[in-house]
Amino acid sequence: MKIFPFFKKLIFFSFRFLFLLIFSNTKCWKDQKTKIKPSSQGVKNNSKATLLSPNISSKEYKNQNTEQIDGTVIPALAEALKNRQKLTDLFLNSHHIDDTSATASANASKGNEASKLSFLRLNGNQIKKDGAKNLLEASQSKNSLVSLNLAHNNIGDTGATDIAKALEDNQKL
Amino acid sequence: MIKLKLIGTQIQDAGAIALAKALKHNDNLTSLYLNHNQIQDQGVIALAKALKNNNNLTSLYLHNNQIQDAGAIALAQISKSRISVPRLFEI
Repeated sequence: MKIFPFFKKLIFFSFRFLFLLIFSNTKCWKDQKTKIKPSSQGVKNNSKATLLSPNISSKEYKNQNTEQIDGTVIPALAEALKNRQKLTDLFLNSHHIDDTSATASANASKGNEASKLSFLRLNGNQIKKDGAKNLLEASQSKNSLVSLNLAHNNIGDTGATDIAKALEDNQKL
Repeated sequence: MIKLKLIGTQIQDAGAIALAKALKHNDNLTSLYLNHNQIQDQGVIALAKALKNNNNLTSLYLHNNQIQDAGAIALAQISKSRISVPRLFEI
């Protein structure tokens, strides 16, 4: 009779272990399935090529300080925004993106009506009021944008006023 | 849009007042990051007034601005009329 509690404990712990094993496995599987990133080596070598590659299954593009993007890569970025309909997250923080580049990418995303871009991080670039305005105008028609990060840019009062106007005019934004 | 981050973008009172005006009419925005700007009392009072009509905004970040007594009092009075008070950090 004394051996019964021991068995009870054993069964309890074995079930717990099994549960943890299954849970951790499913979590890993989910991560692998949803977050498809461009290979880090590709980003380091040539970000232009990574942006342009017709990898349609890729949902997000993150380039966080692995390589400095400047004006020369912007045509590639515009092209990528035009063609990639499944791109939802675009993280291009801390590069040298300025007003002209922002306008170019805004115009490109204007043409892509099926775009599902919902997270746009452009913090730490050199975007001024015109770039911010154009980006807002481009995203206004599609109302897929959930989060817009324009921190540490030179937007100022006029840029903020434009953003406020866009928010006021379009209830869905 | 749910989240708008305008941290360190040299926004002053005029920009804050415009954003406050937008908040009155926009029901989607839940977080607004305006920290590290140059917003003074006037802008903050406008934001506080707008928040009385807007119950959706849950987070408003205003630390590292030039807010003084009048602005702080206006922010403190929000809780009287609102059901959910937004989080306010380091005013």
